[in-house]
Amino acid sequence: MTPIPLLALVIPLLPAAPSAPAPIAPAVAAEILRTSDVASFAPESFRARLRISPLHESAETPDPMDVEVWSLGDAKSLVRFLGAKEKGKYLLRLDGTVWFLAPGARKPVKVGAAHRLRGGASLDELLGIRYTRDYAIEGATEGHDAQGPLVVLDLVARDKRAPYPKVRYVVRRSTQRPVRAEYMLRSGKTSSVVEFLEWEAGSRPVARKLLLTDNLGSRLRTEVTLLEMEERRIPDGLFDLQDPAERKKLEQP
Amino acid sequence: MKFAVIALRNLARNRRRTLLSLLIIAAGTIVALLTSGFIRFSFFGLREAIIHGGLGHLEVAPAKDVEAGGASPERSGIPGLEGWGDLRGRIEAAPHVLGAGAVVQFTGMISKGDRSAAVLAVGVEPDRERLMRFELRLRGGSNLPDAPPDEGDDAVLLGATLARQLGAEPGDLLTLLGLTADGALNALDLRVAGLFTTGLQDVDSRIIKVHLASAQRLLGTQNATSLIVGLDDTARTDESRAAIEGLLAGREPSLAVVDWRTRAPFYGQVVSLYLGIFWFLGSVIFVLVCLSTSNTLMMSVMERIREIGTLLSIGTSRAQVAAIILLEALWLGLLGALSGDLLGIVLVSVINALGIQMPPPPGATSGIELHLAAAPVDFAAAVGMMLVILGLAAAVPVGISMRLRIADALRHV
Amino acid sequence: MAPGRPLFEAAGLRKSYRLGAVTIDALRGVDLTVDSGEFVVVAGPSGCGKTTLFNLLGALDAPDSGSLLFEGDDLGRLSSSERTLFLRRKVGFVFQSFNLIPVLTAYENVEYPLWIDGLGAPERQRRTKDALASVGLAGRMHQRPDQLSGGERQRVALARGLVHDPRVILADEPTANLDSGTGAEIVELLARTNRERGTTFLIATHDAAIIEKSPRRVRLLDGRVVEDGGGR
Repeated sequence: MTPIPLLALVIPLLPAAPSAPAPIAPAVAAEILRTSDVASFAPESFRARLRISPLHESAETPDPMDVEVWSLGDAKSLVRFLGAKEKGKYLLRLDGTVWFLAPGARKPVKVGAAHRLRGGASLDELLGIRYTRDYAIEGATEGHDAQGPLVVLDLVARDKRAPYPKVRYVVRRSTQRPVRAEYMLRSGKTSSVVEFLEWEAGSRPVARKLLLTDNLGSRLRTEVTLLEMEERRIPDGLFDLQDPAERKKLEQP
Repeated sequence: MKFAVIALRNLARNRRRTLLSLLIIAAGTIVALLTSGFIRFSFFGLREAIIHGGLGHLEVAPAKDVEAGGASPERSGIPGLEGWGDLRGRIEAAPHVLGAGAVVQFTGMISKGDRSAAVLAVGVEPDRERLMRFELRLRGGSNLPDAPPDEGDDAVLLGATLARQLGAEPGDLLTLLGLTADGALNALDLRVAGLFTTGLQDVDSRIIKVHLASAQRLLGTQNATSLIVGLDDTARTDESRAAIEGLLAGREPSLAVVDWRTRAPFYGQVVSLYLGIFWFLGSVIFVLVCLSTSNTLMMSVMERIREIGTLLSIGTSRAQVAAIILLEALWLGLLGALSGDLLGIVLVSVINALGIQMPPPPGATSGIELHLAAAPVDFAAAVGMMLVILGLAAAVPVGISMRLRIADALRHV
Repeated sequence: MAPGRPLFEAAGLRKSYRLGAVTIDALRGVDLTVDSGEFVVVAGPSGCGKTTLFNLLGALDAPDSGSLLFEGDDLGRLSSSERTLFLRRKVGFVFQSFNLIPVLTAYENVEYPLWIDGLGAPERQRRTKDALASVGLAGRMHQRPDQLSGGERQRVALARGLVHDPRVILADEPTANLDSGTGAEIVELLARTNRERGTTFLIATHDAAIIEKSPRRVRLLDGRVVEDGGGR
């Protein structure tokens, strides 16, 4: 057989050369971001109970911990620690600043916004980030995984002081739901990854199970499971930094 | 014996020259003694300051924690020493042990109002520290109380530089943030009992001390990081370490006993540095004394060429002539060094009595009083050193005498 | 030594020295035979080779060529230890400038050759005192050389030269630094010692008084023996 006919047989068997991901039109990308922005669909005020479970890596891995989240609008969130040893401890987020309240401390203590609960989950990762409001789309391309086509959105924070200057937000085309969010530092290094594993039934996109991976330091993987959630009126007094009266009511049986 | 007498009498022939040589040798001896005295005291002072500043002589800690974190005193992590109360009782019964204090070491964040700082915190037992003769250099306020504080009554000692950074004074209320043994965040209010210094500015900017009970309360554990053991004599360190290791043999989980030298590599570095300086200075003294006395001995030999020829002509062997010259050198070394020793004793006593204040070393917060610690071995070593130097100084004059032709020497004018 | 064998047998002795760039032929073939017990004066002007000859005879130096036997042994081929023993036991020196050890007393100077030869203290003491007494200095034995007169120093030097009972005394200009009276006393002492003890004496001198009285005169000139008269 002459070389040329032989090549004609072989060439189709060669794996297709990888081609650059196809870009997505800005308007389309913006719409996809809007429809997949989970946090923007959260109720105005709600209470939720979450289980934070560091996945077992060694004997030193902490035990799972349950927390109760009280959220009012975008700016006010209260995380109440439910463990017996953690009674009376809260994390209070007010306008981006996070405070720690403990029985042993008379005054609230400011902690970093990136503080990780149980070493693995930050408040932003737990409560979600408002991408549509706080980020701009820098790039949007097509992608694929085993389950089908994806949209990869490269986002950049509008506020330079945001804890995650860059985010790679991966959305499944078919469901318009996020698959994965990669939070990156200014240098481009990925600091953590949130994978959206399961969703609550219903039209409102509520993630039932997340897997958080800390890429810096501990490299812990933490599973966050939504145990229950109710949309309800939240008294503003819960978020009063100085007056613990409303919060004390939560501790009463 | 007779040669030694001849050699000594030869020294007396030119008294001025001999006296000058003796002065040079004595001066070299004095310099060596003062230097060794200063270095010896510095080593002693540094060692005892390190040990009685809180490091202790020995540390008993879980072996796996020592393997993971090393022997550094700044090892912090989840306190892993369980059942330390019983262990302490057994250790304190061992000979030469003054006491064994439990410590908890951890990192945290301390804040006063808007100001906060990352800190290395140590939870201690003040009464045990006193038993072990640890010194607390207070710069204000008072020490922590001996008794474990009740809830809400926790107190803290701040490093002096840290206190300045926070703008904190005795009586102020601060909040300490830390992680519990379970990894959960916790906070504790602490009233500033006092300010202290470790002597090192760098450490003073990030260290706090709380009562052991306060540390355990914050961390939510009854464990300790380790037991610090204080002895009645630093020279007993190795012996006591072996005894305590014997007590702990077979215990599970296994415990490691680490001595102060391993935990304070800084000390070893200072010793090496000072010894290097000492040897350099010694070399300079060596060369100066050797060259000057060699010249003196050479002049003495050149003036006695004919006399050496006479000695050879009446049956003195060349080795015996060399012995006379060498003995002259050794007499100079011995008499000069002994004079230097005597003068050195006087100078050391005077300097120690004067109480001269030295400026603070780099990184330290205060100066120290100049004190020289000359030991008997130093005086003997100085004599030995000068005998060696003078022996070497005699090499060239001896060599000249060995090569002399008798006939030429007898003709020498 | 074989009976009747001379003490010294020198034949064709030659010795040269370099003084800077110049070579001095001090001895140019000297033949000399000295019997045991002789009293020989070696005379000649300055620079004739007397001191050089005495250095060779006393094994203080070695000839460049020729042979020199002492009691049949070749002095030119002595090892260092053999030379030391020869100097300690066979020969005594008396020098022009006395050459006493300044830091030792008269007694210690005389005792010295016995001490370095390892003689025991009692015997050393006896012989030292006898030697000093024989030169008339028993009462001055504890003086140092700088406390003695020229004549007394030379007597001490003679006592030191004799104390170990050598086979020969080599005296190089022994009276040169003494006044005539003292010099005569020293010469008389040397002669009496020769008569009484039978010690062989070789005396280098240009002192006419000594030359006249000597039973044997050897005259050197320009490194050669030009006269050897009297005596044997």
